[in-house]
Amino acid sequence: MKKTRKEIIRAVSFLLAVCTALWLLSIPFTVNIWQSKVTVQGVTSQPDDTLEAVYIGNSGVYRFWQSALAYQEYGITVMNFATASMPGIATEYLMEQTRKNQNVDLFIVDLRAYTDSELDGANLHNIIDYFPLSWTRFKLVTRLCLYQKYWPFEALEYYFPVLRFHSRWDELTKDDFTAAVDTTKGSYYYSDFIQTVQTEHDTFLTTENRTEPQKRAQKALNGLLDYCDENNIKVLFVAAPLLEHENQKERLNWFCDMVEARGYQAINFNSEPTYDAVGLDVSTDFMDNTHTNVYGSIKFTDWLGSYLVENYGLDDRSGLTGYESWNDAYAIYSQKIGNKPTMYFEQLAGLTD
Amino acid sequence: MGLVSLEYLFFLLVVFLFYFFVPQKARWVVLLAASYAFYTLCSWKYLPFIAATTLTTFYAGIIMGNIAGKARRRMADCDDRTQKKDIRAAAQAQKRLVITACFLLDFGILAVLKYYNFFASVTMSILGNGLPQLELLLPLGISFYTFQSAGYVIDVYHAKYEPDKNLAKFALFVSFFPQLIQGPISRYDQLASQLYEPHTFDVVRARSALRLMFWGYFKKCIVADKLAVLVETVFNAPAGYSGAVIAFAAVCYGIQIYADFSGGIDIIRGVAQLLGIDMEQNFNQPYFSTSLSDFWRRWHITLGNWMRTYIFYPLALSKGMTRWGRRMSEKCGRYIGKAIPLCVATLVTFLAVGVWHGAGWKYLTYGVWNGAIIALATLTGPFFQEFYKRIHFNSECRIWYCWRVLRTFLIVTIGRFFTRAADVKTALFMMGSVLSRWKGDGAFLQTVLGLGVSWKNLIVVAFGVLMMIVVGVLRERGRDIRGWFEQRPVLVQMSLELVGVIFMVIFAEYGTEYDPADFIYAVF
Repeated sequence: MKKTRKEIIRAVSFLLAVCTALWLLSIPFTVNIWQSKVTVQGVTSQPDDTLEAVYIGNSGVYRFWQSALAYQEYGITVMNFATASMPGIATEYLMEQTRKNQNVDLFIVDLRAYTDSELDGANLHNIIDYFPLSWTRFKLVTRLCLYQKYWPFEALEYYFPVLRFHSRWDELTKDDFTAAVDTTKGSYYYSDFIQTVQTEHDTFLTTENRTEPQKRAQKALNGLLDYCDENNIKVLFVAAPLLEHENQKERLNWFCDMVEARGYQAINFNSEPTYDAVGLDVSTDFMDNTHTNVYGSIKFTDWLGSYLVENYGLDDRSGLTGYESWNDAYAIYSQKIGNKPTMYFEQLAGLTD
Repeated sequence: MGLVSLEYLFFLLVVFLFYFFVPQKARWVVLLAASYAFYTLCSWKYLPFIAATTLTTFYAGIIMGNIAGKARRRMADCDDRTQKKDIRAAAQAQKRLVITACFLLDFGILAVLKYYNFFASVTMSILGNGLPQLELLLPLGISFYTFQSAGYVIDVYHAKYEPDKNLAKFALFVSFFPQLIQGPISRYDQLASQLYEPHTFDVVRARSALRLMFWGYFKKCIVADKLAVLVETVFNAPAGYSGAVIAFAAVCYGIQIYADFSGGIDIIRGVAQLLGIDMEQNFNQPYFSTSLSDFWRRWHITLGNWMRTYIFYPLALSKGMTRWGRRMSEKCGRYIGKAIPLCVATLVTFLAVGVWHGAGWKYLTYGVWNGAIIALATLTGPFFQEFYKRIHFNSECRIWYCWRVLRTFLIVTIGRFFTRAADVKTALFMMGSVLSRWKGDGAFLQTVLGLGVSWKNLIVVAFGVLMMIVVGVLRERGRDIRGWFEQRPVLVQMSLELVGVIFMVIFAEYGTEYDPADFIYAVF
């Protein structure tokens, strides 16, 4: 009996050691998707209780909301927690992780995360791989893998990304061993974002129709609302503007109705009054059918920032001790933007003066 | 479901838990169910073939057992010697009929599925038109289980042991899942009783089994699968490479096939050991062989034993061969009279080895190459021994030993050109390139680094090969590595195991985007 116990302890210890090693190895071996890395590591490494709100979603967030600009304009500290095509089902876990060290007044959730039906493994890796090692991460991985039916064997690479990316051993660099430093608080300034203007559409189409989304997407959103109810979490739902995808707009309308019916507020930027209020211009403000470019994002940030201050009472924290990094973030962000074509720089200057 | 897959490991875990969960007496039933489940998971289409082989060999054994039993009883009741002889001869004739029918069925299935298309292409090339090519299914492990079953039938025919009376138990002997993919070809008297007897769980044994499996995966995923890309690149388009690169690829293939096959066998033996079953060794440091015949005693030992027991000895010791040998002795002297029948039996045996490997002229050539070299060594061996004695040459010295090892490796490598190249013509072209176009247009190192394996990966392979050599040398010296490991302090053992796991996780070839190379012997 004593021998058996000893052997069991030995086996369990070995398994734990292997799991720990796999977790630790996963840190450098994960592919360096810079935007995802800086976003996830950026928001989770902010000093305690310095964020007023966190904006969760996918590219419908980080290509619209510019945190550094919002701070410069209104002194509010609202950071993105968003990765490419992040599935809405992950939102609850992002909230849980945020609440570990941030006492946020508000979560803003982009409903577009619930309307992307086509997901692949890369989308899951984007959000999972840079997530801090924690029980929340374990739950997030389990939920996402079950949601995507990556089970049981495919799930292993999400628990231990090194199993997926181990062949990178011969291309590892110093950057892989260091955490990403988000110097612009998640602001977006990449060249395509600054230089591109879509030319496919010349008008912004709106619709009042509603199409029922997939059942599993409804279930996912309902689950989030239940979680928010249980934990008394204040949430503002938004639907970032799209140029086409009529069906997706109809599903967003449906989702807005759904969250409003559950007592939450929703701002649908695809509706004509809101779109007009923001002042977006199809001919200059979109880089493609689903994302604004730098100019559109500036307008969007300006409008939503003002709305958050007025309606949710977010405080002006500019000049306060402990928020110096936000000033630096804006300086870097504006510099990055400023090095790009003059038109945008001038527009930016006009907006921020 | 390949050996290198999470599915296989999960399957194994489930079998393992069930196996030790059910009462001891019923454990063999779990193995039978697992074996058929495994085969079904690979493809349900394979099932009729293994079932047919199982049924034919089982009933052939039963019938032959009955014939022998009846004959024994009749002989017991009979006092007349001549009558006894007649009864025995009649029984033998009946048994021969049964075994012939059984072989026609079993080897018939194998022949049709594996060799039909080759036969059709041969008739087409000779007659101009002939049998059409067919898309035939080749059941997993058919060569292995057919030969294993045939061995059982022959042993029963020779009354080496009593036939198995339990169809389900016999079905387990034929289909035991670890050996289905690539053997080893087990003997009934060595394996069957182990399968049926109740085993208890032994932690030390299980740990040792897991280490053996780990070593198998190491060889497969660190050495074999990394080299597979390089070897394939050169052998698929040899015209584009210099003789030096071709020679390098051939040597790499030698390493790859050993790491692949012995790695697979280690995994299989580890799996069996985990369930309390000891399977036969299939390798004994073959690349330390000092001659080709020595190599074939160390490489794929179970196939070698099968061929020796059921083809070579029966042929070499057959009445016809003995008579022929006697006649040769009278005409050409005693030595030749003894050696020539042996050489013929060797050639026939290796022809069978070639045919076992696959359908095609290249496999036959491979068999002839090996048979011819061994036959030549048999013929000339005594002359060389005499020569060494006369010149007072110490053929036991270390340098000569090294030369013999190297020479054997070269001979084996030359033979492998035939099995790995697309056909005999390509194999000959490649050998010709090694001799006549040693230097190509590009620099050797540059070309090698462009064969799909990065220099960093080549270093990992080199490390893997080094480990294999060290282990080989220690085993050759009779060291019990696993025993030594087991005696280290627990913390040292665990630390080394953890380092091993981490090494494999980082450097091995596996994962979702990786398509593991099939085990080379799984297709034979």
